[in-house]
Amino acid sequence: MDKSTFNKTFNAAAKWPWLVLTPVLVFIAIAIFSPWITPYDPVVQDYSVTLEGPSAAHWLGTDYLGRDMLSRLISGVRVSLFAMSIVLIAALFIGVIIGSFAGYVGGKIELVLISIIDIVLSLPSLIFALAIIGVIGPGYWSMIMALTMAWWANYARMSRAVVISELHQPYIEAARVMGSGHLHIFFRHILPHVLSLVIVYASADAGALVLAIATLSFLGLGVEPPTPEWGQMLVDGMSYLEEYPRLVILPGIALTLVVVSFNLLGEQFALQKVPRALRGYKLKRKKRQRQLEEDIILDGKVDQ
Amino acid sequence: MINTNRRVFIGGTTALSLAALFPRGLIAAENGKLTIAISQETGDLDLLQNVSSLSAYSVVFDALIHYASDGSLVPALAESWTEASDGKSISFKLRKGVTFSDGEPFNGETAVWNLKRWMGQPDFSWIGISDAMKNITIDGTHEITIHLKQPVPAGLLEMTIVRPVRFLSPKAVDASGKQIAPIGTGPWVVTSYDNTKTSLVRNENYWGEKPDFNELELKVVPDELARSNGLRSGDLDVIGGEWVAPLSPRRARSMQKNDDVTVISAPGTASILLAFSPKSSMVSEQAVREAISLSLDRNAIVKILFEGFADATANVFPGNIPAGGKTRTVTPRDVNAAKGKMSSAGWSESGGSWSKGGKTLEIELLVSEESLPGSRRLAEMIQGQLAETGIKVAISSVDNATIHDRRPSFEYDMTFMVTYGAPYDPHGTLANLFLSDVDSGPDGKIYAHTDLDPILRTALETGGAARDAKMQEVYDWLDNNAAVCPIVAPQRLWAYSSNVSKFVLSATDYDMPTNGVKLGS
Amino acid sequence: MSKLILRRIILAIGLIIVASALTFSIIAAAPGNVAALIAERKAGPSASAELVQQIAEELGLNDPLPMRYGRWFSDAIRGDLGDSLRTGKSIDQEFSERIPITAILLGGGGIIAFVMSLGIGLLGAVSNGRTVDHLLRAFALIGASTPNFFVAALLVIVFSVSLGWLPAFGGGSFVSWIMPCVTIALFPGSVLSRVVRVNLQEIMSRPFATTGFAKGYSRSSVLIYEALPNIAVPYLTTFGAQFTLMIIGSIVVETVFALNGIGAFFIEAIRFRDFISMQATLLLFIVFFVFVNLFVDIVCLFIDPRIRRETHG
Repeated sequence: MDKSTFNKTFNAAAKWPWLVLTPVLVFIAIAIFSPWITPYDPVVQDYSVTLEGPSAAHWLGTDYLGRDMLSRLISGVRVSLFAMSIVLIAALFIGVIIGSFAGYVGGKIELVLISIIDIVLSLPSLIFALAIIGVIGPGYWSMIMALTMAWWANYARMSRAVVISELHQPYIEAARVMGSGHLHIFFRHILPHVLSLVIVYASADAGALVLAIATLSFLGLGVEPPTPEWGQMLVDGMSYLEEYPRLVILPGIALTLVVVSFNLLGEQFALQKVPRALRGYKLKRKKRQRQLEEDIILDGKVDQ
Repeated sequence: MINTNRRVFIGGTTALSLAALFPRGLIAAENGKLTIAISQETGDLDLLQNVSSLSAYSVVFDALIHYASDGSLVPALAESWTEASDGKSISFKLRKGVTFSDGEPFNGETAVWNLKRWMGQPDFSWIGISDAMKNITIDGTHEITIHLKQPVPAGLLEMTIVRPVRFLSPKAVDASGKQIAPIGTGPWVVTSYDNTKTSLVRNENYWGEKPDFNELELKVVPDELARSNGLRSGDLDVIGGEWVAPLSPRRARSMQKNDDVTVISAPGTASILLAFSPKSSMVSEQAVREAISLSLDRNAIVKILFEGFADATANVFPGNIPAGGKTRTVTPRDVNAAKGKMSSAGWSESGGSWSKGGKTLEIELLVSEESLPGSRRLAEMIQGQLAETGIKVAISSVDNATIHDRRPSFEYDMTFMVTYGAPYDPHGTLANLFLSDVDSGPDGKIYAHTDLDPILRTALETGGAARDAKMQEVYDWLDNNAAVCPIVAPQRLWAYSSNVSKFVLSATDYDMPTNGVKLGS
Repeated sequence: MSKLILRRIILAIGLIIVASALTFSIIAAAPGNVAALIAERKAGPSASAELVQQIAEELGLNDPLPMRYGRWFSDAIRGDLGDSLRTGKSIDQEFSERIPITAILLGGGGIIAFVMSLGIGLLGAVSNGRTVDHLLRAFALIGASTPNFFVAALLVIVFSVSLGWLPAFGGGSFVSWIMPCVTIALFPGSVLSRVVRVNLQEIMSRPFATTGFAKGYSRSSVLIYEALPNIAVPYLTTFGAQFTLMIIGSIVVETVFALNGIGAFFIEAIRFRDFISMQATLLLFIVFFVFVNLFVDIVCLFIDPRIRRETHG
């Protein structure tokens, strides 16, 4: 095998899978500390320095209102990750509750819930989110709500699968025989399994969510001014594309770096950290239409 | 899956029937084609529907009177007109020998038939002269009189607007009276239209000065950058115009460096205002409104957002609007004076915001990029400027439908409004967007106050020499109460290629610039 | 077999009905008065309240929701999707003008994604574990992480502004489609290249590949003639999913490159809250998704006997 440093890095990554966490942790740190590390207030306009190139005072230059690009990019990390976390937590919360409930109670209620989940999943998440924004109108919280409503179904479907497989485990039977109540069994034995799998899957989804948020802002349906958001910065820069491509390239690179970091993490999870059952899951998730008719797939998968 | 054939078929037959409607001999010898960009397809140019794009009507249809760029009225299908001394009737002497492009004669009968299609109809009650119309009489083959219930001082001006006032061939309607083809008396005749272009040929029987070239193509180019590229590459001859194919100030500035392209700018006839909600508790105090106006850096807005192609203004109407009022000087930005206004009105500043009696000042600025392109950036800039005075602004950017829901119910503190511009002003904006007891529809109002109503009504009802003074009283009231905050009047922006040897701006941006244009270098 | 296919088709139609009912009721619940918007277009800025009421009656907006859905859906089947609130044009006409544009975009993007994913995936498998493989993997990761509006902007900066090779916007000529199609293909192409690479790797570790090497075939020929046909099912399934996801790409790409396709129509409908257009476009999307998936399923049934057996049992 070629022993270039490039490969060494790759092999290192293979040996210590937790290394892929580093870029994500760096971005999370930037997000947390951004108010203290931005050199300028990211929203203050200074008309005397509009559209200046990089300099000692402004490392990445200024935008058309004389705002410091570096400060805006740094604050953008916080905006993106904050919105992403809210959606992820809300979608997980709703998804786990509905999915586990469906799996636990079974019967007609389960059938109704799984039908709703499947219908939501029959549309790509972003299309569904756009439709909801079309109904409730644009804005920051509209965007959060729309994305949550589009994202929960994935987690619900997964939670239900885990619940069903766990219910068939002998130790649950044992607990039941020993007289444990439903709630006790659920919170004590089943929920931890659900969470451990769903959270791993969700972290792999974070990159897609950051992209979705930026896309909605790019389309003018997300964050309000003056909040520095990368998708919005990029679309604002588009009219200066010919003379000042920097205004487009910088937020684009920032956005791509964050998404790459999360996707790297997601890929690592999918290939190495995640139990085999869930990997099979990921592929089969694509065959959504078929799953509508074949509930058995879920059992088949867990039995692998 | 979707039945499209029916529609395609109808589209096809429309084009065919249009071609059949004018005599073959009309297509004269080849002597040049002018291609003008339009941002959206012209549509069927139905004079009674609010659908087709406004700018294309004037090349096909004429009105009795036309609006000239200096705000004066010039004869068109009417050679002369007389207003009765009591203002309750207007007589028109129609131009003789005019025919529609399908050969139908234009006379008193066809004129009255046209006028009765809209005058007195409820859909057109927003036009004063339509609302006040009592009846119309034919006094001779080429003489008509419109009789009114009460005088309409702006009535003649209203006869110059785009639609529905223009004249259609009586043969161009179906049994139910719906327009089936755009047949007018204007300099150009539509030969075909679809969603990519509208093609026209010169009307060889046109009553006025015939165009210098025999073909006109209105090419649909929705993207602004694509239009400027088209102009540079020679695919397009003319681009620009607020209602035709807007040219952004930024693009205009960068195109000035190009030798093959000429950029033309002229003072605009509409202004952008910051409008205050009469129901808002945040901006109910005059001191707050004055402080907002003082905090604005209008010159920076002109320089940054309009690249210099706008004029900072303190007037509701630009100076080229007739009876638009005396020009006021624009007060330069003065943050300290603005803070002074706030303090003397009892507001106190702490931690970068103002409060009074436990109420913290936070103003909602309602914008919609769809209803006013560029308004989000303008809002962002104003938000930054007001922040320096300590006035907090929260921007709500909403969609087109929501802004039209929230404006009529005054669910905002501030919003941007744009005056109608020539030839609709000043009466159009004043009558529709300022009277408290008039239904302004989904556009809402710029400002309304019961004290203003009588002053404004008097001004709108006053004709003749006293009109200017009465109008000035309205502007003075608005100014003394800081009722509106004018920001800028964007300039008219056009650009043309070297294929055009002479370019003449049209009277308003609602018209296509074709009259007087010459091709070839 | 045909019974199975028939069952799939019936289920697909059922899904279309249920999913469109869901989107219909969500949109019908929206605030904002459709009748007022229509009145505004008919009568200009000052529409009266009576006119609004009259239009609401005519459109049957006061009827119960299931009735409205039934009427809308049966009209839609007969090809009448109503008139756009924004432009006043019939949606059939809008669709007939716009579908070809989106079809070219998706078709071109699909071809590029297909070629790109097989090329990168195979090249990666051939150069198994070497620098090229790692570089391609990194490329695929970045390709699947870059927002398509940024890809579009970068292409414009490089090929239009700097080099002047390609027209930035519009035109309608063949070259004007290059950048939009490449932009839309990058994401699915990157994801699919990973599917090819990962599946090939797994198959190459199976006994028959080793047998192939033993017979003296080169790694490349075993890959192409033996392994490649074996990944057809996972590849096609993911391709189908990615192809439907390209609709999202088309919304962004059509906005950036000023193409008047279905994606742009949908986003304009959202911005103007043109509910009638939104409903019609969502129905079109649902039909598209369901049929692409149905098609992929049926193709997979034919090429992979294992699935046939599995689903029978």
